Amino acid sequence: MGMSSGGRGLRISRRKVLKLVGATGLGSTLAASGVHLLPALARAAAAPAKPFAGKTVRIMFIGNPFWDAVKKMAPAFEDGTGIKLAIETLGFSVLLQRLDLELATGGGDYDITQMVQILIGRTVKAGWATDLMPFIKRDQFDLADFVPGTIRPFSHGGGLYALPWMPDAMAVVYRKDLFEKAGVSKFPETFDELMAAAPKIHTRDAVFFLSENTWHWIWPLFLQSYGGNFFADPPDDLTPTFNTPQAVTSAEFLVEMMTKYGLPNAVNIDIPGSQAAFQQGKAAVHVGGLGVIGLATDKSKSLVADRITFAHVPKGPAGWFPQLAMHGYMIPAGSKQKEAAWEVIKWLTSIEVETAMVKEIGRVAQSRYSILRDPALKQQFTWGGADVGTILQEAMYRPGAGYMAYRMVPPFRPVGARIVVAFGEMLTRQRSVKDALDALQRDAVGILTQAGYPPRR
Amino acid sequence: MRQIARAAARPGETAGLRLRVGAERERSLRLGLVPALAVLTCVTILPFVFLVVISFTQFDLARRETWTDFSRPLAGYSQVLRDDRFANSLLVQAKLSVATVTLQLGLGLVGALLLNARTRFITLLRISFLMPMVLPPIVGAIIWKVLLAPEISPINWLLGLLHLPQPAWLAEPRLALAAIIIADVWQWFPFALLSVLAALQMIPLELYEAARVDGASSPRIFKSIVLPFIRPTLMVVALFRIIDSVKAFPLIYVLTEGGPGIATEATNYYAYLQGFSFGFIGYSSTMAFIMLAITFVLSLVIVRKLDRTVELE
Repeated sequence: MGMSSGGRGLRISRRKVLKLVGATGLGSTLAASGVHLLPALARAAAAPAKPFAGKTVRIMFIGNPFWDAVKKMAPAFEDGTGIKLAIETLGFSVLLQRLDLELATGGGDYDITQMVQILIGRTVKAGWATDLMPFIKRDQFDLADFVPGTIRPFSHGGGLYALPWMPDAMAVVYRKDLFEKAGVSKFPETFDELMAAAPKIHTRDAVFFLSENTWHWIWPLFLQSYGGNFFADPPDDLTPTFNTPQAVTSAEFLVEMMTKYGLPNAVNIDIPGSQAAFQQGKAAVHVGGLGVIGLATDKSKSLVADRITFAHVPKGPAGWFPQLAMHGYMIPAGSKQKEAAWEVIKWLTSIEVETAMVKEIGRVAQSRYSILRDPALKQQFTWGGADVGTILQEAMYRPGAGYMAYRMVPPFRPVGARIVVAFGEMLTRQRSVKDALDALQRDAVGILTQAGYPPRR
Repeated sequence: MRQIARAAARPGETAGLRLRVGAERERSLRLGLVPALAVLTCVTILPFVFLVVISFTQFDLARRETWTDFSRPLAGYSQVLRDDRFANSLLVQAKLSVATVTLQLGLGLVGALLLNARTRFITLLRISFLMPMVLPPIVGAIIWKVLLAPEISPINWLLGLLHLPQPAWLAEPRLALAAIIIADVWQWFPFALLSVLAALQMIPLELYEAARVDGASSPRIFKSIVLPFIRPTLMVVALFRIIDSVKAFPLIYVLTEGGPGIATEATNYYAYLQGFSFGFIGYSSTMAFIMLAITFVLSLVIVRKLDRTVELE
């Protein structure tokens, strides 16, 4: 999808100008008055059309190498369309607050913002996002080239409220050298095997297990693999199920893993902290989204880049539930430049831009079949000897990924924050796992009621 | 002017005219106050009124209709009473305020007594003590984050050299609160020190000399001369620091984000989470109003006490 495809701008040819001038009699009038404007008009018509000249599209997103690359490519786009891009990137927590305030007040300061996975339900239900379907139909935008699983999270009631920016799946990056040294030949495929491998590999210098402290993202991998979930049947039945036997077992597993085989300050390790710890060789296994753990391959920062490889997250008794993250481009309802914003989104999601991203920054998080199936790009998806492209696709594009519905319910954010508190209490032994989950269950009922989603049961 | 000229011609009318001129002057002065009062109303009173009004709603950013829903005006207040996390936040705030204000006053007083000399060296020392105070709070917080982060902490490095345990300062509930207290004291005890030092230097030297001639010991001089002189200053410093301790937000935000669990979640941070992370503006306003009321009552008690102290002096 090129930047010009589907564009609706005024493209006036020299012939059209001449016809128009002739038809209106303007030519004879001008000739009679001795003014010879035709050459100038024709010159203007022959120049490249800039239908959005003078418009600045303001973008607010999480900081990512993607945006640095976009800034490098932007001048060509700006030359072609006349649209100037003003890109603002923020840390995740600041972004969430800014998004909430910006969207809720309908300020219209931004024309494209990030549709964050945990805010999808809230944003769509509150009417803060523009339905992109009318633009897609009008411009015959090629939606069929997108893997359906990357579009589905943004579809609600026949509308489509974002196009995918970063589809991501949870996986594992691990130290081959430490596994080999301990005599563990392959990465564990089940949680039982994972727990069995931990004491063999764990040392004071390099702990076995590392993850970030966004427990509402990490815990569901274990919770769902043991047969539990956050809610009874999301998105229809949001009765919280935080203190079921499955929840207790999975939380005990995670707490044991973190406290016995994790870093002592695991409770405080955020996303950048976990990336840095793994890059510095302080852990053998790092679990997280590929977008996060993938930075271990960055040779300019990672001390272990040549000793790592990637694998799928293990399975539990109830099956395999790699967590999936989906972030998109949305146009806020308050934007006053929706047409220009749509033009920018078309460009950002185009094959040209995404191909360049694969080549320039090794961006594996792709949503277009054209990119994923391009044999010329296959090599770009291989990191640390592992075919990360296949790992991501197997996790992300398999059928039945509806288990992520819990993450897109409107009141997810306060509930998620309460889960983080519960794990803080468990990991620092302020409360036992059972007590912490009972308290979480009680508070979740209160939060859901406060947010207008009183539990059914 | 014409009136004054006429009054001058008729001396009997002078007193009445003076009254009228006085009233006009007063009216002018009142009019002159109007711009300042208007600004004050806009920047202070209106937001406060807004806060109080919103605290009687269940305003949720994601549900616009709740903005003007006053159907259950006391719902937020009754929720606060049932909210264990709010109760915990008050307890954390109380621990934080008591510890920081006590330590700042204690260290400030001791430091001021040690530095109470009139030399150039003291002037230089005073300037150096100003440094933490003039740092933006967020910068102070980042400095302590670096000092306490286990991976790069110079404190832990030193402890390691001495073969002492290297704790994860911000990951242990008790240590995390202690870390915030230490950082707050570091930044603000110079305020107490400099204030008390200024008060000490106002004490006439003759009083010390007379007391020594009478054979008074140093503790006796401190109790009978120094303390009465600096007591009003200590009260004012305590008042300022108590009010300010409620605003220890940057330290909590940067160092612990209220954790681990809710071990360092003071009321202002909890109210911030409710309002700006979860969008429950109504409930957040309720908590903010309660916090404001508590701070106001506390300040009133201290000011009354201060007035009485000054009267007694």
